[in-house]
Amino acid sequence: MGNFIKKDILILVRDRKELAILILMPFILIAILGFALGNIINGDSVTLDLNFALVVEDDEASGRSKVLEEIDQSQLPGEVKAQLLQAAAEIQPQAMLRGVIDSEKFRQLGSYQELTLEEGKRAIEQDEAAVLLIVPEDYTYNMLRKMLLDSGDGARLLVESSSKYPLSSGIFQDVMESFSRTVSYETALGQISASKGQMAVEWQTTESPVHGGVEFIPSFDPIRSIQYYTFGMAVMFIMYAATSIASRAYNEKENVAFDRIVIAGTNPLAYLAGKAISAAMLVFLQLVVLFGMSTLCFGTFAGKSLEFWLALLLVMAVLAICMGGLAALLTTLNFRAENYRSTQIFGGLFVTLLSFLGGSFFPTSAMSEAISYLGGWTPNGAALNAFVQITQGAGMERYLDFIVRLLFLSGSMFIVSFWLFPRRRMF
Amino acid sequence: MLAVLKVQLQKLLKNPASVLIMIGMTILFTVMLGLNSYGKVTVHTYHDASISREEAESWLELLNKSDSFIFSLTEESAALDKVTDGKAQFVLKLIQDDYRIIASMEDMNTSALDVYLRTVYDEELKLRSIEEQMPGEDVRTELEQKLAHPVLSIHATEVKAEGDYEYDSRIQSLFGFSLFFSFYTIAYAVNELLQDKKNGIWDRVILSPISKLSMYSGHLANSFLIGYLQIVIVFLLFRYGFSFPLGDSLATILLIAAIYTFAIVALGLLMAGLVRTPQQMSVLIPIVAVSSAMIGGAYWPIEIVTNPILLLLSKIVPITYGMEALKGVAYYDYGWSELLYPLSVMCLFGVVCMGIGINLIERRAR
Repeated sequence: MGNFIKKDILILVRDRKELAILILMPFILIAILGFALGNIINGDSVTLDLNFALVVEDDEASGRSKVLEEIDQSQLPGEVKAQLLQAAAEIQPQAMLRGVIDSEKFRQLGSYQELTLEEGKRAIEQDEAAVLLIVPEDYTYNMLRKMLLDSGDGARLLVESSSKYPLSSGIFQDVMESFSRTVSYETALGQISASKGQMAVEWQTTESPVHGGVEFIPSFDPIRSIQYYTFGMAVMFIMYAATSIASRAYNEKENVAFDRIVIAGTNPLAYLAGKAISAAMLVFLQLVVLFGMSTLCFGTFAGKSLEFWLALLLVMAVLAICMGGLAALLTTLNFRAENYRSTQIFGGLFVTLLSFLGGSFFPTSAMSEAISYLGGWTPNGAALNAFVQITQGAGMERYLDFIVRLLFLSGSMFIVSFWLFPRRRMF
Repeated sequence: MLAVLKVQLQKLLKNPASVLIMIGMTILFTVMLGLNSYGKVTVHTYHDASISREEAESWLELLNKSDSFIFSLTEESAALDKVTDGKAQFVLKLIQDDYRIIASMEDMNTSALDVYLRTVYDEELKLRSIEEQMPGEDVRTELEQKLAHPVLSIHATEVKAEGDYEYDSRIQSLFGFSLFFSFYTIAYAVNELLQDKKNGIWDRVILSPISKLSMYSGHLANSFLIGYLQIVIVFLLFRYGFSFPLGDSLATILLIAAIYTFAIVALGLLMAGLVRTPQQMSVLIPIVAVSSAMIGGAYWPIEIVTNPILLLLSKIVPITYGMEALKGVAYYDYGWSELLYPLSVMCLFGVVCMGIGINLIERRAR
């Protein structure tokens, strides 16, 4: 058996191109996913680089004076009138809007320039702006009138977005909607309390008493997206390594190397075991290189404790054994069917399916419970779960279950493949 | 060429399983992921001793007005177990007039949830403080009446888009996965060419009066037809079987699919030129397929990607342009002027890849 392993390793090392693909490709994807998607998934550091144009058609001064006039001519008692007049002079509808789009938080989303309506329309057609925010005529007038006199239809803001940027214009709309909701809500509450003589009408932004926020489970290290995707891509690409070994094995059957081995009097099962062991070794190497490179280049697991590394090594070893079982199973299926279609179908389809179920692309907890349960029973999903638990600093009792699952899966794959593997030469 | 094509197609008819499996997988993934993202996210919620069960339930009733989250009340230990076991990424803890999201990992949903909760809490607490000041008044109803005619409203319009449309995640899944899975079918079909070479069939045929050109064109026509057939079946199935809104012009969609298929056939040929054996090719295929699907926005909309390097990379994979053109037609009724760019890039890509690919294969043969 030792000879077989030696032979497989020599063959692998000779084909550097494939070895490079198996090891470098996941590394590139880790970098891509960890950095590019990481920003989005972390949510807080989204920079949209949204370019939008602000078009102000509203004449604040004339709108205000119109409202002041209306209040003056109204039939309200003098005291109320005086209060309303003061409020009308103080409330700045345009400044409220600018307060939002000039805020620090909004600037992270994008920047704007002030244009005329014509320029704005042109900018959006020529792709220089993604969204046009129009403050229409009578914005100030309508808002003050509705706020203070509770008459009219209220003010409107027009958001025209280019169909080219559905996501950023969607976020822009959400921000504007939430601004209008706050203004409307506060005003409505203010009007209600004012009508009962509680306090003067006043649009105010009080500091929210709600603290809210996200807390991470104490004694648990939150897992970072680069860590998650390092695991996710690693457990996906080791399955390609297993398919690669199995497809090489079929190669040896095709060029009758296998038959010669059998004629030489070696037990075919020793040959199969050799395949399983070399696959396990390749997978282990792949995992070591991926985790190592990821830590060196991105500091993924920098500063982790010795216990973390030991636990990681344990799961890596069990996972490698499991992939050895997978390689043996695929080799057997190829030999039985006398073509390499099973590796093709497995490599092409099942790896993708298993990766989705196991959570290599996005965490399964975001999907339905049934999918998440199924995913926990795939070799890659079980290993990914165990890796995540270990990274979070969980004790052995939390991931032992997944190790047992991996051992169970490897055991069943070994039994099936050794049982079905052709013992005699087949012609 | 026709004879070569016929042989290849007969091979497929004898063994249609692989194409059928690919179609089945496309349907499975489209349904699984397209419908999944439509569902609401369940948030397991518990409360600490500072508020009573009744108070927690009344908060839950308010919170459950959300379109994207479902809140369900559980015991503290059960909720925390969900997070530590990785069954949920976050749970919600209700405390006196406030809340905390308890998470194991940062993600998009936690910040969206935080924004939502903050708004609900802010509004509700303000309302309650007014209610306290004015006992006996039905502030809540009055507020709702007033909010039906808000002081400020947003009127949003889409430039260029004709008619209303919904940004439909099912469309993204359908296009993404059909293009992704057709990649396999096409590339494996191209691999038959390598297989023929290895078996010596290629050389024997070339020795006969059949020219090399007809051998290439037969194989490539076969790859194209299988791949295209797969895409067309899937599109028609979802268009008429599941009534997916694929836009008004099905003919345009099918044309885009044809050009995409051509580009992938060419890419397959380039890959065949880069490897030595069919086995190597079958290892390379899934890796290229998965990577380019990730880069080109087949799994998730490319619009959410902002990283400049990734965007640059996405410019060199044909799937990006295929998705752009298909989504353009389905969502925005793209006309020819808008389709010209993605379609011509795919054509150019196809021609270049095919040229290099045939060159490499021929050079290797020598």
